[in-house]
Amino acid sequence: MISRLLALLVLSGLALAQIQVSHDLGTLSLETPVKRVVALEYSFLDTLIALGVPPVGAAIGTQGGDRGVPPYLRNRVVGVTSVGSRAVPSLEAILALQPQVIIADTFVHKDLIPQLQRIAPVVAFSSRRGSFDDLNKQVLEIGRLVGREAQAQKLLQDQERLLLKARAFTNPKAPPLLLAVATPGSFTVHSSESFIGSLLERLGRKSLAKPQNNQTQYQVGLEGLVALNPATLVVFTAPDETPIVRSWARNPLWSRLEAARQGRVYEFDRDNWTRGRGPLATRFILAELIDSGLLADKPASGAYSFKIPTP
Amino acid sequence: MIYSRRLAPTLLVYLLALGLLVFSFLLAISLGAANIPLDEVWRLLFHPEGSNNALIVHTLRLPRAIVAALVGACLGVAGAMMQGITRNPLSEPGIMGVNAGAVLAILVALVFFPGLPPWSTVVVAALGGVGAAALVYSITLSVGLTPVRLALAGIAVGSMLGAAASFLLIIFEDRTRGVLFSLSGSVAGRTWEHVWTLLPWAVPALLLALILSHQINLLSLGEDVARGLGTRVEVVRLVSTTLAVLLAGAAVSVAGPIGFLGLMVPHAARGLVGPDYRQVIPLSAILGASLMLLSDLAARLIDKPLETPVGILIAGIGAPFLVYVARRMAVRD
Repeated sequence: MISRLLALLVLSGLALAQIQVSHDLGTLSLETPVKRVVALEYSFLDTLIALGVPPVGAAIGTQGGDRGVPPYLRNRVVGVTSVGSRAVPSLEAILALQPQVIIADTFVHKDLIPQLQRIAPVVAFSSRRGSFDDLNKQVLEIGRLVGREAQAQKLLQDQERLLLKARAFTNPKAPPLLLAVATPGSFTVHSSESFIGSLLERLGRKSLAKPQNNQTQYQVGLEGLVALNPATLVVFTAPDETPIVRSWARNPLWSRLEAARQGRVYEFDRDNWTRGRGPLATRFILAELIDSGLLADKPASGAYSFKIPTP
Repeated sequence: MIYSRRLAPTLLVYLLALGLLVFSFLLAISLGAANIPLDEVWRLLFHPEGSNNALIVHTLRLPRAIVAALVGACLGVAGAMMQGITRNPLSEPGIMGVNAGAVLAILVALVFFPGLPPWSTVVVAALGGVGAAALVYSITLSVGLTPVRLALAGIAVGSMLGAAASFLLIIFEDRTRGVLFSLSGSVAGRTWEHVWTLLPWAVPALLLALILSHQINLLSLGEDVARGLGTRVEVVRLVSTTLAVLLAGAAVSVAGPIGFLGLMVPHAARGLVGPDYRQVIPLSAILGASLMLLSDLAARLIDKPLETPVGILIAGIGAPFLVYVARRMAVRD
């Protein structure tokens, strides 16, 4: 009897230590799922909210030009303390929240991780430069971390079903498209290996830009855009900014672009489309993708059409 | 000054320098995201036929090349004048804190006086430059004016003003978002609009510098000699300093701070044509323009398609040159 009880205890002990979260820095072994998480990228915040375990703190500040919670996620972020911006999160604010785990970006927080590790164990994923597949794998790992693996799997299954539905809208003969984020000072191409590029490839729309020098995202000028000459151009902008493409559009070269001639220059919110990168963002993007007619290769119209500046 | 030897006959030097300028200018227009052969560039410059390449040449590369050439000429001449007036071979707008002062003034204007008209930027930049130069002088005066002390004070004031500029950029992020340049100096994406901002200041100032070159010759002989020869030293110094700072301010207002170009170019010019400022000033303009065009070209090509700020590239060559000049001076002393 006693030996049986002991065996049970040992077994349950093993079971308790069975949470294994594998990430870019190694594997984190846990006995119980964690409840207090600090998320340093929007995709982690999105994922945790989708899983029903919102983080205690997140890098949602607007210091140093960071842009805060993307609009699609704004009213779902309740009771999450800001720990500053993603680039320079406040270590003090993180420490005060007493997190059990900090989720960081492998690339963005590379130099900060040793300091973060002195506060709590760090789990690092490639969010900023990750592909759609990378981000989906992270959903599973984060699900495991907070003890919601089943929900994570369900989220991904639902997402697969949605992807299939969306894919049915895709015009298989549509030419490759170019995706780019435009800020007041830069035009950054998101290649086929970026989050948004690989998501569109999954939906059957080829991306014109491939990674260059191992960069999934890189800047080009108007000349570079003309050289690429996409048949469909998708620009991601912010409504509170005057993106560089508005001044480019005044150059006669702009109207020479195949996409401009074919009326296929689309404009979407850059915060919603390129910053969220989680299951909730994907749901939002899929809805706009279908609604805008981008998948079907229809000419851009209404709110989704590029706003040409008045001279 | 340091250089007295002449390496080649002046006429030949000028021909070669002009050849270099034309070549760099055409090369800057030829190379980019799509390379346009030099003979086609030549044809398109004079007979734009409405093709994509013609539009690329006329709306993108030509204005950028003109801006680069003007900025280079302004900084080269500003450096030559400052070195002549102060008889200090380490003088130049970057090292003397003038560029940093100009940047800070532009940012202060942008943040606190957003209503100022765009044409006033050059004046604002020049005022900032004057302020910084005055500060550097007054700091050095109290401990005795030597070239190295002046350069040290200039670099210190420059860093301080640079820090203040960074502060404004971060704190007033919303208002400084529209600022044209980064703190590392670049001519990427400059258009005809910027050519027209620069041209009305740069061209008259460059011509005036040529006219003043004889007076700078006299100043460079030393104050007493100049006075003995009937020069109104204070007036000449005031006018030429203002002009040098205006040239630097004009360059900064479209390209941001580009250091060391104004240091290297006059030294090269003096090495080629000797210490006569009537030769050094025009040659500094030509060499400055060429160096700026070639550096901008390299900055575009190093990490294609990414644009490296040209200011960083020039600092990479210029900083060792500063050490070289300072060491030569030490040996001579």
